[in-house]
Amino acid sequence: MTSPRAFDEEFPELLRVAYRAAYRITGEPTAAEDAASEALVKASLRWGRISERAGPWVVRVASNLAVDHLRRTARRNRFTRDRSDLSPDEHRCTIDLHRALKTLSKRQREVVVLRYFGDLSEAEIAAELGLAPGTVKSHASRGLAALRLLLEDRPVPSALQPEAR
Amino acid sequence: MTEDLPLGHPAQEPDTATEARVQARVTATVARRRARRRALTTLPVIVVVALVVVAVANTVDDNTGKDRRVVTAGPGAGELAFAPDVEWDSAVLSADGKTLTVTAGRVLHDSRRCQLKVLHDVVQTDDAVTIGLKDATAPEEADAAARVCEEMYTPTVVRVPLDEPLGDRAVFDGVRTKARTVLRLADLVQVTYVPAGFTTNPDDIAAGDSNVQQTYKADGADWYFAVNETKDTAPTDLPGATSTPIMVNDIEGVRITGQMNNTMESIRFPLGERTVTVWGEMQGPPTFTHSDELLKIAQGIRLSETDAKNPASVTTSVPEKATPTTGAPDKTAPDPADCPGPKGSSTDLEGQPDWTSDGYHSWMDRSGCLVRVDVLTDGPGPAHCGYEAADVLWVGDKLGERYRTDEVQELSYVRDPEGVFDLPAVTAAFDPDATLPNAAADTGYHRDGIALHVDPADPSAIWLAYPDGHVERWPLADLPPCA
Repeated sequence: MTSPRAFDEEFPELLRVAYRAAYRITGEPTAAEDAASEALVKASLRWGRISERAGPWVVRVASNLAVDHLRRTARRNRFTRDRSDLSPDEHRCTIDLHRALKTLSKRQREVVVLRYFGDLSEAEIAAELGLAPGTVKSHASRGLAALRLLLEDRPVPSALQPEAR
Repeated sequence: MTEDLPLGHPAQEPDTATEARVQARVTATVARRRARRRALTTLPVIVVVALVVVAVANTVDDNTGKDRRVVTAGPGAGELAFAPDVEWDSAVLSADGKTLTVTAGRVLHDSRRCQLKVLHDVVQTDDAVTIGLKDATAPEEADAAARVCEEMYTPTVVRVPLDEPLGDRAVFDGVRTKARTVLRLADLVQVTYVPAGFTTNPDDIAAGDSNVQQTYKADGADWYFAVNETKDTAPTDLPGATSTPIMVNDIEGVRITGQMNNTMESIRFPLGERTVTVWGEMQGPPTFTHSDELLKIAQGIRLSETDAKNPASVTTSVPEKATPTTGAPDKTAPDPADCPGPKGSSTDLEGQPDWTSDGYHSWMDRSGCLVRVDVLTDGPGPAHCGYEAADVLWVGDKLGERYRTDEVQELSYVRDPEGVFDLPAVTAAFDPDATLPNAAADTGYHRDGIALHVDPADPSAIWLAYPDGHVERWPLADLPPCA
């Protein structure tokens, strides 16, 4: 049942995991705060349904919002040069990460983001996404390998590409 | 534990200030959304349906929606990244239809809250574009913002690139459900006389609900000027203003002096249904000293072509996709024979070289008057050197002045995708699907629906915006000799 008190009790930890995941993706405190805030708003409004798995749930929502932010930022950066809030390295990192994530399949991206940015376990991801643990493991390893190659500007073997799943 | 990745950003935890801020934010947002849910669920279904119909029809302002996050501005609209809280009135559409410029904060004589910093986000659907603005002025800066607005004109101009040309989509501010006015550059009054060195760009155009201002600046000049046009509202002057009659062409107007301790001067006159005010202000010296130039600028103001056909269009126009023509004169442009410029000007065609017989094109200025080919032209590369597969645009290093003179050098910009000039760097720098840079300005020069854009700070390329919405970047090139 909905329990505002329970939400309030879990708020600090939920904020921590949501903010942490969003920050690792965006590298921007403001964007991480926005994503975490919105994830927590949604969590509060749906508390009765998600309270049992609130941690993975807010990480997932915050991560999705952070990836959306990356997409918007990358699109906007095609037109604007004002990224004074990021260092050149951070800027490049954001752009590279966005480009790399774009190449993954939706499911691969979800798993990679939750596993390596949200710090969720394979079991938590499996429960959150409704997948078999083996499938999560497969998506995670293939997605990670593909990301590494992409970020090093090397060709991605067909076995690691989304359509090869 | 997860593997340490060579990507992403190092982990960071929220500090206590962040935690307090987010907690307050979540509490307020949840309360607001719950209240809205309650309000909606208690309304009879028919009322809800009626509200939705009204919202979609955009016939009224819904001021109750100020705090909402989900934007219902148009069918299929998505969510902005934040709850917009800054209203804006009019957007200016670039010539290629792919950039909207909106103005937040106090605009001219409008009274509203000031912002020093504004966040923006855009949601684009097939039917609507919603540009949300959020006041990001820090609380400790609020007093400064108010003071700045009190003392001077300080709009915050936001340029928003679109994924696709706007077309016939409605535009919303995310706060109100009534569609905002979209102004095309061609709808604004046309400034046909601009002192040497002065330029404007989309960031220098501020649009309020009933007035628009185009500002012109020049590097190193001791003054700048602006052209305001208003409809249905009487412009007000600053303290110290004294009016004296003046004729602008054949129109009775007034010259206004004495404002800002005599550093500012204005010329105001009616034009069609608008009131035009041309004003200049000194950057340094204590007294305004450019009265003659100001009058010339005022005399060169023309009504837009669109406005001449439809006087109401300045506040209601929705852009239409331009269609390319095939070299025929623009139907809406004046007959070039009717608008030769003063002797020696860029539109004084007397004695211009006969290059059009060699395939070089004539361009027109913003007002539709032909420009001399030795001011601006383009055409195929010389055929006798085998360069005809490339196109070259020639213009002076002082835009709008005749080149091949002692003072003005010609610059050549090249479209050479096939590499016929054998200049690999130039071929590589040509972009057939470019994006207008942030600082690019529409020069007003056009031919066959193609608009020439330049970045005043970057002469290494020009951008041509085509009627179908695509933009090409032509790089500057030193062409090989061809006798």
